[in-house]
Amino acid sequence: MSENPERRPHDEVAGGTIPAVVRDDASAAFFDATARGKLWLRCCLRCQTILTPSARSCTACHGDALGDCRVAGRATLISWVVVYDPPTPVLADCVPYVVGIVEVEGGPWMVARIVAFDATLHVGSDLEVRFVDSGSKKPGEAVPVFVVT
Amino acid sequence: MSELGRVYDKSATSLAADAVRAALADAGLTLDDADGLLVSHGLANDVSVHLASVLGLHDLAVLAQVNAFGATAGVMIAMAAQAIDSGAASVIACVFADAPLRPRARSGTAYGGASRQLRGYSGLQTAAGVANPNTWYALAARRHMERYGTTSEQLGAIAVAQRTWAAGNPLATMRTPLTLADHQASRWIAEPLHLLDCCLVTNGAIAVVVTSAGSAAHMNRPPVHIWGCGQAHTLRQMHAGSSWGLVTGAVGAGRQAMSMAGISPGDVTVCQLYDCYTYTVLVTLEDYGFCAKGEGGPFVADGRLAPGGTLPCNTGGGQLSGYYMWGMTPLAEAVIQARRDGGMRQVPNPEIVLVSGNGGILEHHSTLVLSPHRRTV
Repeated sequence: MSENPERRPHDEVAGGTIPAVVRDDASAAFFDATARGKLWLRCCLRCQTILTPSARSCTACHGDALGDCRVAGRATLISWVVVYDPPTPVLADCVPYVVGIVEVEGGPWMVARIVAFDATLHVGSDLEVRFVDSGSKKPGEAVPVFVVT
Repeated sequence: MSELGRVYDKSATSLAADAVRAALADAGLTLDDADGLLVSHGLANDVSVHLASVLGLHDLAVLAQVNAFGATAGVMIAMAAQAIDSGAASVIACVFADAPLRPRARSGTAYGGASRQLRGYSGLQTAAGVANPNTWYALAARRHMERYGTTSEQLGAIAVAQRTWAAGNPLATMRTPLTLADHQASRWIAEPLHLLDCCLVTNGAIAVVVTSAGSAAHMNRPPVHIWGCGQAHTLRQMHAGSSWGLVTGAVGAGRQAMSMAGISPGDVTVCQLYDCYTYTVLVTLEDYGFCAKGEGGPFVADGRLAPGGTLPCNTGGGQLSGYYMWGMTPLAEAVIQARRDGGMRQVPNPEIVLVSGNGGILEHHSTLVLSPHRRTV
């Protein structure tokens, strides 16, 4: 539960398996950061609005000049579900799992697994990012998950 | 309509051709009378403007493929009505066709997508586990439940009401009576949505013919008049302050359509609301103004949507129990009711019929106000 760069925080997280994700050109910097235990989002260079990693333009001013923006990874829970019926075959080994929409500090919403909690979830639950390696049989990138703080 | 259900021996294009021929014949017209064709595809995405040549329609004034997902039916009707008003065309067939079901495959697999390498940000979202409409709509429903206290039992009341209606519809897929206990006992798909909160998947096609009121007066069947139409496209906002899951495009589309029609929700005698999930019906009723925001749960729980209730809704069973032809399901049932062709399920007063379409993940909304009567302004 620390920002200690020497210790990969996701090693502590017990969660369901996550299928392997591989990078593409657009996501390379994001996954370089997750491998180091950092969450990088995007930021509008004109109005400084913080945006999701996949943003192509600013939701506030429609500007298309965006830069990278590192956040500490605190978030609050917007909504969550417990998935029992695998939405796609690659998730067949993962069910049941809890996935939510989280509002990361600064405002953008991300979809992510909610792991390693024993309390009842509610809207507004305080969360913090952790990183886990995706893929079991074949390894993938480190991906963000959120734990209840 | 073409055949509906587990029809495996025809492509979506063949089903679409059947539906267009049937709709024109129903109106007492032939393919020679049609000078416009609007085509809408479903999951299988295998019907297109090529349908015109399949039908031998070589000289059309209007031809396009239209897609606003579940809102497409209402969008097509609005486009056709505008084309006819402007004089661009005189008889336009609007058709939806889909054939995603395969023999011996579970219907849920139709929406699953293929197994493939998960790549980039879209792959990240799939890996996280939000990868189909079930998961997105469950997230939306949870948000509504947490904010307003909406319960699973209240959603279940919608499923039960619609199954009761389906018993009177010979075309409905699921006609066995359903209790709230059955709904609660059905397996979780994505909690808070049970199996019986989710729509069916259907192969088939439905077409409607749009023409001027003057021409329609001389055709075979009683016409259904378009009093109003509206659209709103509210793409999902994924950032702080977003009302996603709480408020939908039904607010804007409904206001536009009801204003054009000169009506308010209190004038509506029967609703045909897009029901990909029970939750969609509930939030649409709120957004159209049938009850205050957040009060959809208590509003639907007293049986008012069911046979004998004060606001008959999805009188053919909808997409939960009837058949899943996207926006054509509510539109077709609206036409059936307005013409008093509903048989056992006919409502006594189909004077003002409100029809909704909802597409994407609450991202596209269309509304129609229909009536058996020509509107007198």
